Amino acid sequence: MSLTIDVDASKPPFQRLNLGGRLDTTTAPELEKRIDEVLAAKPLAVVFDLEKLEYISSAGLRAIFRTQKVMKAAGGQMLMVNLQPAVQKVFDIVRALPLKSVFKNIDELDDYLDAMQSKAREDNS
Amino acid sequence: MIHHIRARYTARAFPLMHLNLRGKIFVYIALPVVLVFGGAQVWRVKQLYDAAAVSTIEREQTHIAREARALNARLREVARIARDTAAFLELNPDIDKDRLFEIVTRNVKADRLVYGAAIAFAPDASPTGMRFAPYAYRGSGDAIEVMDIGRDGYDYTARRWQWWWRPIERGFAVWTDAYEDDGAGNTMMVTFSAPIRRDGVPIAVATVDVALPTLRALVFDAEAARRKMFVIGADLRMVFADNSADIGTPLATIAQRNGRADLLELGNTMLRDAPGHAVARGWDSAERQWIFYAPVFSSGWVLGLRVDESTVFRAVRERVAEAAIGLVVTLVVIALGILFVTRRITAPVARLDAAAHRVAQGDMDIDLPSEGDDEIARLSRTFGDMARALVEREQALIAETAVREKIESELALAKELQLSMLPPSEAHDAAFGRYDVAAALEPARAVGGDFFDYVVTPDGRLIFVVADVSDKGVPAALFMVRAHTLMRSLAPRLISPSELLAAMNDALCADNERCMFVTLICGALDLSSGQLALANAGHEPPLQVDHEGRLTWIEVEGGPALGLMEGMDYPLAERRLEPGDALILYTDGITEAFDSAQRAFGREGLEVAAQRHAQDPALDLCAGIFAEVRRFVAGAAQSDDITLLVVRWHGSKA
Repeated sequence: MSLTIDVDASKPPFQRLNLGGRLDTTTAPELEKRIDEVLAAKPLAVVFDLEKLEYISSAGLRAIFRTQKVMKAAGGQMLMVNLQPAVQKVFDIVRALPLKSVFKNIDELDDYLDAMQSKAREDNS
Repeated sequence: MIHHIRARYTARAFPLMHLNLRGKIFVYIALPVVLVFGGAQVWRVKQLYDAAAVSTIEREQTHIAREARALNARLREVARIARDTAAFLELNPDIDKDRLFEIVTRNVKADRLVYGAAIAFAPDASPTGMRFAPYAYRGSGDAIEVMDIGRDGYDYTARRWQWWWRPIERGFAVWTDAYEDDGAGNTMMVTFSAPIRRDGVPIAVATVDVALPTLRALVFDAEAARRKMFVIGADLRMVFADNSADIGTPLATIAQRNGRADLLELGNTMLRDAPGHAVARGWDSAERQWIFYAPVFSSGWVLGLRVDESTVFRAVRERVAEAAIGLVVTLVVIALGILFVTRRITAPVARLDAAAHRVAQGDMDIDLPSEGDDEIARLSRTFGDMARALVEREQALIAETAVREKIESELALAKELQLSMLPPSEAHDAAFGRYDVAAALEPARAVGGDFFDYVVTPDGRLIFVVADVSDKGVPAALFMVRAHTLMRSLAPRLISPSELLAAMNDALCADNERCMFVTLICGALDLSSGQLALANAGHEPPLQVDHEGRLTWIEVEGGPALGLMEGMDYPLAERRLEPGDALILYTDGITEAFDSAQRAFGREGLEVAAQRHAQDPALDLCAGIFAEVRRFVAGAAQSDDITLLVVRWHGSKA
C-alpha cells in the first residue's frame, strides 16, 4: 500500500495535510516534496491529520520533525491530530514530540487554531 | 531456436509456405490468371470444335446429296436409252435384223457413260429361232465393236445373268447388281435392262452397260475420288470404291479383310436410313472417319463419303494452335509483369529482412533506402529509426551500467568500511568468563544506519550500545558514521550513559538541517556486581531473559531520539542482573520485519524466538532469533536495517 497525501489549504493561514497509508522510506521523499510546497506558502501552522495513516517509519518521522524544526524557526507551529495507536506508539518510543502539539481530535485542534488566529489578529492590531 | 520454430511451422503448413514472399505473391496472382485464361481458352476451343462439326455436317450432307442426285440423274439418262429402245421395238416388232445392230451401235454412241448396249431375244422369239443378241461395246482405242453374243455359246438365259432374268421375271425395267462381265468387257459393270413385250409377254430385253470404273472419270470429279467417295449396291457389294480393286467386292469381304464386323452393319444402316451421317473408325485406317451418305434412288444404291476426322477439324486445330501460342505468349507477358511487380514490391521487404537479420546478429550499421510513402517504406524508416534507437539505448545502457558498477563498487567499499568500524560480532571474557556478547547486523541496502558497539572499560564495566539512524541507505550510513564516531570520542571521558546520550544529542543537533536523528540505547554493566545502568534515547525497550528463561521487557523512562532537540535529559535506569541473565537489544528492523502479507514480526515474535533459545549461549541465542526473523520474512524484501545484540552476564567468577 502506498501513501496518500491530501493537502487542504482552504483555511489560511493554516495548511492541513491529510495522510493515509504507509509513510516509509519509499513514500517519505514524496511527502517531503509536498511539505516543501506547503512551507513555501509561509503558513502560521502546519497540521498533519494522521487519521488514515497506518504505518510510519523513521524516515517518515524525520520528515515530520523537519517540518517542526522549520516551523519553529519561522515562529509557527507544527501540529498533529488523530494519531492512531500504532503511529502514536512510534512517536512514544522516539519521545520527540512536545505534548502541546498533539491533539486527540479535530474539535480540540480547531479550538486551538481559532485561539491562535485571534491571538495573531490581536498581535497585528 | 528461431530456426527450430520456423522448421516446425512450415512442416505442418501448406506446401506454398516453403516459398519466399515473392514466390507467394507470384503464385497467388498467377494461379487465378492462368485458371481464368486457361478456362476461357478451353471453353473457346470446345465452341470451335462444335461449330466445326456442325458446319462440316451441313456442308458434307449437302455435298453428298448433290452428288447422289447427279449420279441418279446420269443413271436415269443412261437408263432412258434402253427404255426408248425397248419402246421402239415394241412398236416395231418386225424390224430387220441388221437394224438391230445399228440400234445397239447408236445406243453406245449416245452416251459416254454407256460401255455397251445389247438387244437380247428369248430363243423361242428370236428372228433366227435361236439365241440372238446383237451387242455393241467400246473396244480398245474407243472403237465400237459389234457382235452377236448369242452365237458364241454365251447362254445369257442362264440363271446367273440378272440383266436377262430380272426384267423378264419382274416385268419392268431394272438395274442389275454389279457383276463382272467375262463375256465381252471383262470389267465390273452394272446393266440397265428394259423388257420388250409382245402381246404383253416379255420376249426380249434392251440393255445398256455401265462400266463401274468409268464412273470415276465420267460422273465423279477428281475431288470426289480424293475424298473417298464410294457406292454400296442393294446387294451390299461395292458398286464404286476409291480403290478400283474393291469395285464389285462384297462389303462382307472387305469387313472380314479389315477385321471390322461393324462395317457390314454400317452398310445396312446406310442403305436403310439414307440420307444421314455416322462416325466410325475408318475401315482402312486407324483414324476416326465421318461418313456422310445419300440414296441413289433409281438403282437402289447408297452413295457414301468418308471424311477423316483430322480433315474435319484441321482448321479448328490450326486455330487452336494459334490460340495456344497466343495464350502462352499472353501468360509469359503476364508472368513477366507479375514478376516485375512482385520484385518491386518485395525487394524492400527482402532488404528489410536482410537488415533485420544483420541487426539480430548485432550489426547495427544498416542503411535502408526508403523513398516513397507506402507501408513498406514507412516500415523501413521505422526499422532504421528502431535500429538507431537501439544503438543509442545500448550505448546509454553501457554507460549507465558503467556508472552503476562504479557506484556499486564504491558502495561495496563503503559497506566494508562501515562494518570494519564495528567491533567483532562475538566476544567473551577470556580472562574471567563473566560475560558473552554476540551481535548481528544486516543492512537493508548496501550500507545502513544501524550500529552496535561494546567496550570493557578499565574500571570493569561493559558498555554496550545499539542505535538506529532514521531512514536507511547512504544518508543513514553517513549519519551513522557521524553518530558512531561521536560516541567513540565521547565515551571514554564520560561516567554514565545519561551523560553520554545528552552530550551526543547536543552535538548531533548542530548542523542537522535534514532532521536526521538516531535512536540509541546504551547500557553499562558492572561486571563484578551485575549492576546495570541504562539510558534510552527513543529506542525500543530491551528484552531481558533471566537465568530461568523468564522474559521481561525493560521499559525505562528515556529521552527523545538524538539530534532533534538540544538540551534534553536522559534519565538513568538502574537494576541488578542475576548471574545467567541475558539482555536482548535490537533495532525496529526486528519488530518491524514484514512478511509478504505485510504482517510485522512484532515484539510477540521476538518473545517467542527468545523463549525458544532462552538457555542457549549468547551466540546461539542471537543467531537463533536472527534465523527466526529470516524465516518469518521468507523472501519478502527487507524493509529496514536489522541489528541484534545479546549480552549475557555469568556473574562474578573472580
